[in-house]
Amino acid sequence: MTEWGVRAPFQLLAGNKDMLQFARFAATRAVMAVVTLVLVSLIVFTLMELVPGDCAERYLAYKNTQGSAITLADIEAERARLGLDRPFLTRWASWLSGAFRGDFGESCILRVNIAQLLGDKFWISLWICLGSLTLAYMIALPVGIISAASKNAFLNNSLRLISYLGLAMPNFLLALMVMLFSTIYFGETLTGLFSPEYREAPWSWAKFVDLLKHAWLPIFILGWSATAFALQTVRALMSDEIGKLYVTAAAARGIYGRRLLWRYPARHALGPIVNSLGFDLNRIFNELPIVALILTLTEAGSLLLEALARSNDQQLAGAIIFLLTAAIVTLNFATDILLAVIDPRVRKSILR
Amino acid sequence: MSAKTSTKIDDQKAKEAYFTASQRQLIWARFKKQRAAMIAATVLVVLILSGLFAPFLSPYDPTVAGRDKDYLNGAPQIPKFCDKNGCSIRPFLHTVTRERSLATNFRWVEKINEDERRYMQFFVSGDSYKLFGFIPGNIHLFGMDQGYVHLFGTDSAGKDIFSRTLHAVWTSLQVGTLGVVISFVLALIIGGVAGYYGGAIDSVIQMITDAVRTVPSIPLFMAIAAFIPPEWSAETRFFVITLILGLVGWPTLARRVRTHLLTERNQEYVLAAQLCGAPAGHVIRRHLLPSFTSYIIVDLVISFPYVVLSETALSFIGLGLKDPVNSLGVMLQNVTKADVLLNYHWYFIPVLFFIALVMAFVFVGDGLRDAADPYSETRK
Amino acid sequence: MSLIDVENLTLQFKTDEGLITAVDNVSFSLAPGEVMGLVGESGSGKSVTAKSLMKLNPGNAVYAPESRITLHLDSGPVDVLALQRPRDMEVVRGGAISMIFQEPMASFAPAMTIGSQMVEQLLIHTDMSKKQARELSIEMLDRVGISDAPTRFGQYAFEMSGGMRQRAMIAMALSTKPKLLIADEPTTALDVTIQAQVIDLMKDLVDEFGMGIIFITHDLGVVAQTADKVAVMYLGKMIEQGPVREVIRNPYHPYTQGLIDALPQLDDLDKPLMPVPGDIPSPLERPEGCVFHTRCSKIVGDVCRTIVPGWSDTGENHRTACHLCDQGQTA
Repeated sequence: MTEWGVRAPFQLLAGNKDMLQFARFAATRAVMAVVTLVLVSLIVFTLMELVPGDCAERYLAYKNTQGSAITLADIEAERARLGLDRPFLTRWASWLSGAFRGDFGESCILRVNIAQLLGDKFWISLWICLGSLTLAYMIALPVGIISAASKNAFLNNSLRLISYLGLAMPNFLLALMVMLFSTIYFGETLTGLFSPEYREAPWSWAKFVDLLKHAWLPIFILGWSATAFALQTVRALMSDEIGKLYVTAAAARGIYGRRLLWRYPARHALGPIVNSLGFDLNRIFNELPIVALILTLTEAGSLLLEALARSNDQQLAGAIIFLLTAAIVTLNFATDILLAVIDPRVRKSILR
Repeated sequence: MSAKTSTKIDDQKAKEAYFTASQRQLIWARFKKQRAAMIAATVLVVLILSGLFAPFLSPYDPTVAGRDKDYLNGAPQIPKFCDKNGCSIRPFLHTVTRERSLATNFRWVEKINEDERRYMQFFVSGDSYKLFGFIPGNIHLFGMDQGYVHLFGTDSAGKDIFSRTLHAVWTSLQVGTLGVVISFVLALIIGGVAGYYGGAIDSVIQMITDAVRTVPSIPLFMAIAAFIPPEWSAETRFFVITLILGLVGWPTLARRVRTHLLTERNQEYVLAAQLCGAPAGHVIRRHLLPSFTSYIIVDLVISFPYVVLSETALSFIGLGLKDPVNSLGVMLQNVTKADVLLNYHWYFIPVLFFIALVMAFVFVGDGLRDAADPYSETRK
Repeated sequence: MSLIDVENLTLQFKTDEGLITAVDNVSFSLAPGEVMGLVGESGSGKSVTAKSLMKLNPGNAVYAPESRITLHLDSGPVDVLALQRPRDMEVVRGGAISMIFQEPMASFAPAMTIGSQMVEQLLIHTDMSKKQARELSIEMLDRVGISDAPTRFGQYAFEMSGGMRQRAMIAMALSTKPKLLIADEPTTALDVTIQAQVIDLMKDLVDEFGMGIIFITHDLGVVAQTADKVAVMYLGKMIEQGPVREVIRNPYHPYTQGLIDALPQLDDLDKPLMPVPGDIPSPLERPEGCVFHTRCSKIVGDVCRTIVPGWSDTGENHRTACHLCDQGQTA
């Protein structure tokens, strides 16, 4: 058979029946993901409803400050126009069906289509977060595996300290520190996502390059504590695997060094690591809005902040939280499928 | 057998003590062996004590009431023992006069009068306070015979950063404890129900828990906190924010409670106890609970810093606690301004305290986890 | 000429609590084709002794300088403890020496097929091509009585039953044609009926392959059926060794006697069980003098508490380390 057992699954899946079984598994997972999203949407939507004051009041109150007089009848008319007089479940259902089509209605205050408002911003945020996740694991995988295998006390203790520092120093403090040093030593702040000339420009290669030039800092800052977490996960899982009998048994068969490390414990620790990716993304999303605020980025995180802090725009806030959660659910779905492909134990339980 | 020496009897006693030690004693014995965790525990105790006795330890009231209006955005002042006029046993400060005018380009310029000494006093009476919220007092550990002392400098309103930091540590401890307790009670109920009943109820609860867990918590905090009416008082705000932190934090804990319950319930020692005729209440109280209280305590210690960090983050963006409540987040609100970044670096001193606090908790939690796990030593 | 000579093997583990002696001055040798049973309670150091033959003990193990393990191969003697590089250890790890473990489930990597692990081992120790290695592996699986070997070859350990896994483990261990097989309680985790099958299989294979076996067990009954000679260990010390029938019929050391008395007697079911009294002391507090004196019912005098007993001949090729047999002499 194959060396890494990665080609094997595809050989095994070659059978028609197996393919069908696997498709059924994927479908079940997809349904579960959708159910999770529906549940989340219910939670988010309920929260947005519990908020004192609805969208109509908010909009008109805003107009009121602009000088035009508002009557109670105006609010009622606005409610009817927005469909807020319909029962809760109906509104939730229509919000949900819109959300799955990518249509989140209009913002309460700005009166712009939310999908348009978010557009690129959401995707840029997502790519920045995925970038930091990738960075985190690119560092954590080799370092974690090697440190778990090494008996060097100094290396292990310093790694432990670094990862604790990563846990204890929240990203926004790190961002502040970076700002502090960059202003002291370079006299400039490394903020924003685009140079001024590209901010409003349509997408082009030059704009993309400009984005990359600016994006490394948020990616690094967001990746910082993600790396610390990932390092801990990888190390703990690896230490567990290395202590297992099958590793000793493999050593007793004459396998040693890197071959032993990567083929045995590392390969078997991979499953749980893949499993934890979704929660790592969750953690990064947690840090995003605040880091965005400090670095004055203009993406979804800061838009969320703006929506909440300045204008209590529940429609926009709900849409952003829903989208962030949807990204996590999608990643979880992808890792479930990946796990089934790489881990024969999961795969065989599906193909039964 | 008869010829046992006294050391052997001592040995025997030590062994007996080891074998009959309670779980708590065993955990403590193992915990003591970990140097890093012990250092962290010491730091933690010091921080908790300084938070508890913040009103006494800090020289001034941390709110606007205790401000030094002649020393806004003032640099830290370190008391000294010697100057060109000789040394003194009592630490002292020099008198500083500050001026800001057109001549100085509207920046504060300080003039130090090296001949005028202000001496430090101990156990002075000053701003009145309520220790632990109810013991009134006005004695402070230290103060000056005249003027003010600001170990960590002052902020833009002239509030003493040292005093604020100590009070903020106390706030964080309160928020953390309350938040953890709230989410723990929720977790115990929800996870307990899921773990106890199992089956369909368990599946449904698990599904909901997982769904809640998927939602990124800080954006969710922000969404909820943003809608707290601004006219609420600082104290109400404090409780509501803590409540929110607790309400959003339960799923992870609930999951762990459930897992503990499910695995422990099926352990053979539970069956053994049942076969011995122990009633359900006895099994739960004497066997199930002790089997995982240590793990739950560890979970609580580990989740503590996340509550503290969430509060800090929320307050930092202005959605959490507000003045006059002191918390790190509140204190850091203004530091992104270029002015602060360039000129007033002492604004960042409290950050060190918080890193120390969080790290101490993480290390202690880790040490406790290792100590509570009887197999941790074999792994290492 | 013997196959392997172990002389004065002393092994300590460095731990937080200090040095722990796991094996204390153990010597024995094994001829080609000979089966030796290594008997003792858990914690007696028998597994550690066996692992030393492959230098498989963890990094905190310290071998005393006078320890020597010599493996005699056709190509010349190998000083096992002097091997430093993992590359050079191939010969004692899976080459000339193979090992099977107590738990067959845990000793196969869970996410790799049985076949890929067998082929990997063959590729390391022989110059076979992948195809040859695969054919040999399937042949070996067939030989140990696994039906439908080609299918089993592509399966994972979790898809097999306990007995089948242990057979596969044996097939894998024997596929490189080792001169010495170390079996660390190979039947303990199996059902009694399967145990008998596995023991029969091992006996057949010994005859067929003509290799030496070190059979680690706490079960004297299994030893009596399979071994040519037996060595008894207690707390890291070897206390009695000799031909299996001789030792079982005329045990000399009080501990060996205790072990044999502790065996249930099927011919006299009313006879009460006779456990060895007391508990094995913690390796952290090894008794002075004879390590067994804390539990011994036949203490000769203070000599047992102070002086380590030396070997005495107590029969043909039968030696015992006990003050009972050399009263008056010192070690």
